[in-house]
Amino acid sequence: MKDLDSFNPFAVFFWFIITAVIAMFNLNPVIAALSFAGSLSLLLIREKRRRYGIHISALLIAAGCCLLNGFFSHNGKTVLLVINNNPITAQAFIFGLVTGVTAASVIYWFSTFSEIMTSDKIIYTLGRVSPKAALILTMSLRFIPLFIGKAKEINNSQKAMGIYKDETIVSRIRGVSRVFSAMITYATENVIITSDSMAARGYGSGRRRQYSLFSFKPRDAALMAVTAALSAVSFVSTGAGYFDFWFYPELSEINSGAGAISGYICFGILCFIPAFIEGGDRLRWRYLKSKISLSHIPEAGR
Amino acid sequence: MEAKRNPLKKFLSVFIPFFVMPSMVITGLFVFRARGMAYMIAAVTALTLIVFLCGFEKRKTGTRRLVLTAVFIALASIGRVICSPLPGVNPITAITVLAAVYLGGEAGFMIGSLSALISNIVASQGTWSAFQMLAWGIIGMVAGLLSRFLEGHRLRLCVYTFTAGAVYSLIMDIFTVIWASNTFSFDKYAAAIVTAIPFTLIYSLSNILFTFLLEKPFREKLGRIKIKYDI
Repeated sequence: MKDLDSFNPFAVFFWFIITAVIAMFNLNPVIAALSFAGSLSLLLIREKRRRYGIHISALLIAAGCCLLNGFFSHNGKTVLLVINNNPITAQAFIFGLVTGVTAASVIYWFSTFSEIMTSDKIIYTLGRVSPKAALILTMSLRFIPLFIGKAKEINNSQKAMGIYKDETIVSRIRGVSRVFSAMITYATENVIITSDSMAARGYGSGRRRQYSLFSFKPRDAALMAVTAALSAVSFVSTGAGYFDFWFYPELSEINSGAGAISGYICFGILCFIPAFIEGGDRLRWRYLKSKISLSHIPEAGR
Repeated sequence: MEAKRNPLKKFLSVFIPFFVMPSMVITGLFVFRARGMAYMIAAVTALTLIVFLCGFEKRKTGTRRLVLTAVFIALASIGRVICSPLPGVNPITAITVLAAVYLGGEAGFMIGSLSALISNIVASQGTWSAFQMLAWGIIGMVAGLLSRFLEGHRLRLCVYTFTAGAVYSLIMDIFTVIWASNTFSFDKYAAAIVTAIPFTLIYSLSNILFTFLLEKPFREKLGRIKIKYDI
């Protein structure tokens, strides 16, 4: 039902990189607001339960940017107060705020992105560039649960033998490092078995291909084409200076020419594409569910 | 061996440094005038990472060394996730350096950069991911190059990881400042360093502790396996 997850990783990756680059490297209140609204709505549409941690960290980063720039940048015309002969200006705070909102939106983008790009998709995209890195990545992702289980085993047996004491911090550190030392022994012996078995099955004797479930469907091409078209308009209006905005010495006016407006609209659509995809799917699901429960199976009810 | 038959990688490893990188930086500086510096640094970092990964592809690595690399990436990532409640404490630098000393620079780069990538799946990916990957990768690579000097010397290893941790923090602070305000000013850099002092200190000291504790098992076990199986 999560529709964005079923797109080809390359298409999602392409859309994400383009949007994040435009959002991150334009310092413009409108772009920042659009990016923030798009990323937050996507996050809220996708989330199953409330996640306060990410909102707190986004808020902290936004506030941090605002305060850092407000107190350490002394450009700007409107002086609010003077500390140690250093003027604290309104423009510096607004500059910090716009940077902070951009940074917060980037946090939201990346959070959703790492949710969509699961490890198999990362391996799929990386495998084209560097099969060796992708192989190492796959193997270490498999080793992680294996080692955690093994560490628990070692820990329990140490406890059973009565060596593992955790009364003081020193003895606890000693205990942990003893478990770690045993882990390394186990892991290195395991390596020899694994690699011999790999060699026996012919690793390194030919070109390595990957197995993946991701096919490139027409809608992936459509997503990439729409992304390319919209981002081209955004890039052109960035390059033409329609998105330029000055903070110092006074805030400039937001450009409201036809070129700038079309640039903003294109970037806005770009930001909301995933929210449309996901939200539309949710709405369709709700609609179908309501039809099921109301007309077809009336006694099932709610 | 397999790399020679892969035209995409060969193409990328020539195409990116000599064509994509300059053209992206130039057009980027022209397009993103407002944040040109931040853009330039991010683009160059991400592309450098790709070039490094492509370049390593050419050399032939033994299967055993490859699997060992994966093992230490897993161990470093588990360590970082376990230590994540303590801010600033993580064993990635220590494990990367210790493993790189025995396995060489290429493995060191892989361990540093990929364990940053994997542990960030749990911690959180962000604009800093590429910087972290490159920074830890280079720490591992340099450790691999200095392996003659470092191997078996607990004190030198401690000094190296302490310095590496401090340098890593200072470099990440430069990134923070440029990211936050697009210009580099020493006022802001000093402010960022001062705010980060507790973390930098905890980080560097924990590096020493991890190195001190892990040096012996690494020396004994990796040394043994290197001799026994000729890796």
